[in-house]
Amino acid sequence: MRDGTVAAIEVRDLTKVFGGGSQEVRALDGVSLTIARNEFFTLLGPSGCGKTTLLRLIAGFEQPSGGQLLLDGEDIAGRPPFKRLVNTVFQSYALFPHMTVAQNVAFGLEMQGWDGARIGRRVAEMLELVKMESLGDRRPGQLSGGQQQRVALARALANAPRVLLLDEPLSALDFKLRKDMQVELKRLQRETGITFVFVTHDQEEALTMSDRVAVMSQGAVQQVGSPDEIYERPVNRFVADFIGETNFLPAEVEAAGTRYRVPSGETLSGHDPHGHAQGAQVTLALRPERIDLLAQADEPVSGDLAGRVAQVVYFGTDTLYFLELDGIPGRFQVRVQNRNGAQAEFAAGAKVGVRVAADAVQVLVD
Amino acid sequence: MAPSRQARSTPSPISPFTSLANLLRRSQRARLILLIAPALLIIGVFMLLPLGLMAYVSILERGINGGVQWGVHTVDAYVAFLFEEDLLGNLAINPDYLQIFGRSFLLSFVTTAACLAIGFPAAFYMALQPEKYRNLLIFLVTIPFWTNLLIRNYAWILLLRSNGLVNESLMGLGLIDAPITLLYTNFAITLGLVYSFLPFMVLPIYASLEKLDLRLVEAAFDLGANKRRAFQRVIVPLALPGIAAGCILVFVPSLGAFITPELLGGSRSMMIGNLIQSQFGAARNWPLGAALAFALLAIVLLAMMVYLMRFRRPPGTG
Repeated sequence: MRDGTVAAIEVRDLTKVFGGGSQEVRALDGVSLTIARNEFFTLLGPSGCGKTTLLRLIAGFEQPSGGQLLLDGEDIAGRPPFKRLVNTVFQSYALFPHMTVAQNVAFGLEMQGWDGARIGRRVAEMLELVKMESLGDRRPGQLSGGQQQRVALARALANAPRVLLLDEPLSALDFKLRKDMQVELKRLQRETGITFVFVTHDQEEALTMSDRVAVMSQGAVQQVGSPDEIYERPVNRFVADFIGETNFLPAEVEAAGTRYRVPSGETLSGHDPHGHAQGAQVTLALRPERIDLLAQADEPVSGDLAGRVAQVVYFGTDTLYFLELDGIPGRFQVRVQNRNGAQAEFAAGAKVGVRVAADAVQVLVD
Repeated sequence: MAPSRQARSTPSPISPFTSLANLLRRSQRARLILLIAPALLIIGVFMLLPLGLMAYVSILERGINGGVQWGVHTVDAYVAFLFEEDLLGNLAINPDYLQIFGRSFLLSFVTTAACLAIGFPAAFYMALQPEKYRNLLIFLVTIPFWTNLLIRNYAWILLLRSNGLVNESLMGLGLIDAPITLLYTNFAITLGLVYSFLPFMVLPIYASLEKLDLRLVEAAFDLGANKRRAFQRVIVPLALPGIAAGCILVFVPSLGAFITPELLGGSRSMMIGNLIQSQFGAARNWPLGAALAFALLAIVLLAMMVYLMRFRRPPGTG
């Protein structure tokens, strides 16, 4: 909780079980989360991780099997969706096909019992907010995917909800439009000051838009943190693997909290939030872009690894090298920025040195 | 014909088939006419021809012993629909046929309303079932069609008559002392019509509800609509095409129903179908029967036009 105020949403030990007996599926297994007011909070995870179930529980479309769900400090677990001050932007938009754009946006206000003139002003205001002023008389079927998306946002925001839930709203849009809508969503969140809870399986979306991200897997929250925290300091192998590219190295703790010995004999310094004791077997995570490649001729320093280039993949902005390290099983990835154009510095087969940045090693709990 | 260089270079003799093929290749209109010809033929032979024949019969003089006198034209039949000639030869308005028309419309309307009241919830329930049960339920809805309509109406006679199952049960339970008159009433006709035509209401409504995206209902809840308002504002408007189709499919055949009013109705609850039948049968007045049929057709077509004008307009603009 920031600012010491009441959280917008607080989830305590929330559990959701579908089916029964042998077909029982635990979609959520004791999830606890706190989402602050005015926060852009993202639930990130692969399909089936429980992120959409959590969203549907907050919206009220499903009832929890156990645990508590607080909106502005008030337990709303038993309330039907129409008595919750949250609104949803659906993955498929779910616009009413028999109503115009303006009628869609007005629907929620009518349900609140607003009078016609006030509804008209509010609808105009919302359509302006999403830059759809001129299309109020169209029907959803006459709009492009991006336009439908904007109408869905305007409709959900019209009721001025405490929390806006967004269920993978960008997944149906093409790449360019998705980029534009990411910026647009950030703008809307800033301008309205409404708490956004955003569900996605796209890690890039999560990193670029969110104030904080909860990484979920198998019905449980794996890690909650700011985008740079979950990227730079993943707590476990799932998070490190799901977010970005990662090299995993087996190692033994040589000095607790500082030095870790890899199978080839070199020692790396690392960051260990879990406090493994000396002699423990651990896994180290290294991001490919935090590693430098050295020519054989360069003077090696303590902690440098040695290896051979197996494959070179050109990506435009950078080049990805797949290495085989001496004395360490598996492939090792290094990403090098192409500051000097397309010419790769090392060819396949070249012998190279590998230098790991001082704070780049993260010790994981498996 | 073996394909050879010579055969291609020499002009082949023009057969009727090749000239037709050439015509079709050249003319899009000819191809179109050929494609719709079978449909036109069926409509022509099975619909327009009999209708035309009946239209002609309705303006002929009736034959003494049934049938018509070909070539003798008169509008007597249409006059007889509204007026009757007294002994002095004056025309006076005769409300008998209009009354039968009125009763038919009333009973058909009540039948349609009852079918809608029963059919919509049934179709809604069916559409909400898991997919594997839905086909079974559709199958169950169509089961009555396996038995002849006549037999099913006789079964209703057994149920409704004075010493029938319904009266015996009610008396056995001590709810009534003497049998109540159920059979040969307007109630019996309506019951029979509802029973006969209910599937025609359920199936089209089910078809439109089954396509309904349940996320739209969730969206309505999400925006603050309670169950009743979500039903009014989202479910019903989206099911409207099915509701309209169901109402037409029940109302129109109810108007012309013959077997049910014949068996379950009394002498004072005649419907249009029975009237037309009696004119072609016992009364031996073919022109009047044909005229009555055309009066019915005209009213139905008029009702359809009104309906189309009302509902073809995109909803929400009115």
